[in-house]
Amino acid sequence: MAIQRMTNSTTGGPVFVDVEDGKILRIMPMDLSDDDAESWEIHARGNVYKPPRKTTITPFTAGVKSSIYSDKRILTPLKRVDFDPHGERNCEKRGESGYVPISWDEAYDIVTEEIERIKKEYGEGAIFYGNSSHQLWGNIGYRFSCFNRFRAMVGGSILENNPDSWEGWFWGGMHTWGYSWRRGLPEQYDLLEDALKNTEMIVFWSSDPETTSGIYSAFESTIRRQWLKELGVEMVFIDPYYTPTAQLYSDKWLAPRPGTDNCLAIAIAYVWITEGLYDKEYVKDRTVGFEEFADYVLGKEDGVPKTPEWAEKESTIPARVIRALARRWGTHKTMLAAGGLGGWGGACRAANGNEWARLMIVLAAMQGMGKPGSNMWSTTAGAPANADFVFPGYAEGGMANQVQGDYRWNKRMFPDKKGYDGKAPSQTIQRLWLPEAILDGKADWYSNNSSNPQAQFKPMHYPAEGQPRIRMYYRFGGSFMGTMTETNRYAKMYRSSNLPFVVNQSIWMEGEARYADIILPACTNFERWDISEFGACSGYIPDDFNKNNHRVISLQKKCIEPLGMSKSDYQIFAELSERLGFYDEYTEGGKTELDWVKQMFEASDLPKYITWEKFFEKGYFIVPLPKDYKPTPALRWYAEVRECDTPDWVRPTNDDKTPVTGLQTPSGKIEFASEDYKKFDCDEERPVIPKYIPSWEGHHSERFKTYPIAMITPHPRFSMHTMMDCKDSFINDIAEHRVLVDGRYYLTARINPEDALERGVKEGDLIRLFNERGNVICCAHLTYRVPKGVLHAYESCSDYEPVGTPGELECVDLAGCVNILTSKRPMTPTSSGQASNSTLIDFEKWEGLK
Amino acid sequence: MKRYIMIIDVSKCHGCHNCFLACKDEHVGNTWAPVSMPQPRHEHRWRNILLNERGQYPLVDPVCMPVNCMMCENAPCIKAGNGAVYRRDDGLVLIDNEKAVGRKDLVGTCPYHAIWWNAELDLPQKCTFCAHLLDAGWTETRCSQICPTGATKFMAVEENELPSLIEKEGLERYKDEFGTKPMVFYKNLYRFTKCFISGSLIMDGECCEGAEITVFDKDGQIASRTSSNQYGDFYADELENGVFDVKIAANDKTLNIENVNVVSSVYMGELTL
Repeated sequence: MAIQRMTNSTTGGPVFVDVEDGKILRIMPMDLSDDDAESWEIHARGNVYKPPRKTTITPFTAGVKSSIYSDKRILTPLKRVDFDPHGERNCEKRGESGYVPISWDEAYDIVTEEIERIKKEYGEGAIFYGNSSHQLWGNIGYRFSCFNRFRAMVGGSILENNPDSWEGWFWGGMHTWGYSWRRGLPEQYDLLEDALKNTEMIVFWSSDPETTSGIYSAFESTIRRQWLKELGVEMVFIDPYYTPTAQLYSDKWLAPRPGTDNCLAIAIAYVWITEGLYDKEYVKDRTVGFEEFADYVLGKEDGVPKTPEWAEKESTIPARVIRALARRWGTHKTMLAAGGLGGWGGACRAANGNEWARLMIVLAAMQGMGKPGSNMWSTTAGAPANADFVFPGYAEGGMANQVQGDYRWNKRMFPDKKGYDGKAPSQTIQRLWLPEAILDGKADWYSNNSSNPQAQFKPMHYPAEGQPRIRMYYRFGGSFMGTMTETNRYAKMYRSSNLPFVVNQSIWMEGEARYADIILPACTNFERWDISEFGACSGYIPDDFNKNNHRVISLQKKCIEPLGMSKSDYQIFAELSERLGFYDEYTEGGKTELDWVKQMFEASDLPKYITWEKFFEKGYFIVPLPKDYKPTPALRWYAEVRECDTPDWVRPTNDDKTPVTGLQTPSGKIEFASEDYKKFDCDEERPVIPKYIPSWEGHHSERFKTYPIAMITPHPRFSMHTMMDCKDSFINDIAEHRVLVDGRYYLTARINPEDALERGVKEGDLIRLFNERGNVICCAHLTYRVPKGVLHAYESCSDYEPVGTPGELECVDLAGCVNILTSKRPMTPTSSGQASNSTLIDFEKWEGLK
Repeated sequence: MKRYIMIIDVSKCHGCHNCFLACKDEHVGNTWAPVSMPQPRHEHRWRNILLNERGQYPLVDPVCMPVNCMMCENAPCIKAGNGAVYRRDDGLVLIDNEKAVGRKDLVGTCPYHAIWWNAELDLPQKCTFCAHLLDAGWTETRCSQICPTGATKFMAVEENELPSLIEKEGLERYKDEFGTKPMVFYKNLYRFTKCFISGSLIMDGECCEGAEITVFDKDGQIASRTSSNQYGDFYADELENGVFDVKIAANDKTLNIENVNVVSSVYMGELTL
């Protein structure tokens, strides 16, 4: 049989898939053809810039074939060997007792019976649904789509995801410039052209786009950084780790002691204020509260001038270097790349990460944010793109027709419906406090609602008023416990009889799947139909396809049959709904996945350009740029005090008609002094003006004497959260990710050679990372890419392999689940975010199990 | 006659390993006989990324260098192979997967350590430049097609145009002294193979920009010259191992540092003029 070229897509980019005899031969980036739409051109500084006529993919997509064909695939439904729904459930044995294969019928019968029993005995609010942040790509199969639709029809309570990549921008940034519809991140439209024409310097602060790509956008922006480098744009990197991005482009690296980024930022402001190196007019007209901030910076408020010398003592960065940086920044048109997408970054996932986000915004404001060449921009977005062409992102709801979808997409996908399908969630539990909710029977946090900046001040409680405690946990998508703080808590939770029933719909046997009573084996997106756009997560971030060099919409073809007895998620939900009596409603009268794919195609703007038949045959479509494309740089309208002219389609008003002339803050301006904070008086760690507050787990804290190593655990380079990690995948062979020692692939931890020497650790040794929260075994790589006192390892281990009793503090994890060591303390008492980059530990050479 | 060559720019590689993974994607579980037999799932590195993290905190320069079969003109594996390894007219050096069965000795013949032993198949294996794809009309190898930074370029060049290309592009061969004449060429190879002396200069309490740094070898010859940047940092690069004297001059001030021993790249710390 001839080799068939098919198409699909992933969290790491769209791909060509070559298939022969029902087997995937190869998966590779797409080469565009001559009949695809033309690429954009940017004319700047005498050059013409055009992107390559191909797509890029990430390492975790380059190796994805090895996770499709993996011994870790679950090929039959499984029942925990000592779980009897009619007798002893042995909940406390979860994680230890092993599984027996059962038929789909038996699995469905147990799940159906439990759902009906719990509904009857406790009410539907006792059924709880949870998902990971990331799973396989595709708008129909995504959790917002097929899972949400199922949940809404059964009814029940849901897991509320903390904004685990946004954190500081969500809890802090939003009160400085609004943008709640982007969870505190700014628009990025057309900043590439602006930078190529005007920018002289880029400060990458906690920003590593060669690793994180903004998000989902592979190496699309690599060529742009190369162009900017060739133009002589100076690039400075501020990060405790010398990142891969720094490796290619760094002119200067500053590695502040973890937890001290904020005092570095304030000292830069000190230089600007004392030397007059800031945009006084912009600060006067476009911001509020500068005087209060300046009083603090200059020491008028507390008697401590925030000089570079003051910052040197805290951060270890020499005062002269801080001055040199501040002066260059203050005299050159500079893009501040704070985090990977004009926002995000490891520093926002740390103690006082909310203050860091606020400081980044006000520093950019002091340099006239929005004026030519000066903005908040991480090089990862803002390529020319046709934003009028409507195709949904994965967070717009897909087939769910639920209120969680955005206002725009539901109307298009379901034009004939008046309301939503199914029911609203009974109650929510925030993901970081799920273990407490189960183990203690109650939990309190602050809302993750982003409909407006003030929504997050609402205290939330579990159980919600009038709602039952949960009795069943339906887990969907990959394991996420490795991304959560004090991970042992989650194992302990699973082993509690307070949680009488756990079903996990999983592709691989790993992490949380090992703690389920019933496991339903799902297949990958290469084994079913779907449709999606490269990198697009609209619903979370409007129009973020402009991260990519081309808008690529892919038909995700069913390349091979599902392996073993595994099934597509949609099929599992459809078959369960048949037993639960709402099959016709769930499937709208028996629609297949391909029918839903076609419905999404028809509801989008695709039919204006390409027939279904042609799209089906070709497998992808490149959205053309209008001939008369006119760039509208982000925030230029704001700097020039006029109506917003960017295509940003979600607004404070949640429509795209009302003119927008200011920001979403109460004052409509950038707020040095937060009006929200004045009004809500949140907590001491959220002062009205952004300040340097020593980290609650940093070098001033008491525990520093016991645990002198600051562990930073950024989003991973070789996996997408837990996707692709472990699974016996090819990335196991990448020494920067894992190292094979005595038959096991241990996670790599980067340590400073002086710290290693003090502890007698040599290159390649196994080391035990520890604090009072637990123990994790890693493989040591000695490197000066981290300063003394810092350990760097990537978070998001997909597995959890404790030696000893799972969940107990003394167990030793061999999988590399470094979040075991991070604190569950919220970022601030009223900011319910995780601060995993503020973690103190120690390490020692590990001699193996005694 | 066209020859296939690979050009790798060391300064553009940050070790994303896409090439390594694409190689595994192409070869693990796939038989491309007669060109290649399946690669084992783990441990083989037909495409390998070497790492040299130069310098010390805070002036570091980690460098990644991809290596694979060098497709040598004077290939030691062919000499030792007695027909088990052969060269095609287009220059590709390939292992004969029938004649090479049991020839574990071939692994040790490659000075670049590019041949791997497959115990299950009892066969030596290595990069083929994706010959099965080239023969099917491809113009790229999997590793060059996927490279997101342009660090790896693959091309066919007329044999007589090769010398001028080498000169024009400043191409070098890795460990040329082996004399095997690889068809894999490198740019900015010094970043991996040579050392620097670095330091951070201070004058009047501020970063000292524009100081002239000259490094002399023990014969008094200039081994490297550079100047300090806006942060006072300098990297005097492209040094072989040895002992050097360093002269730093800014305005009317000079600083001489003698007998700097370079066995790997050196950071001399903060130096005040």
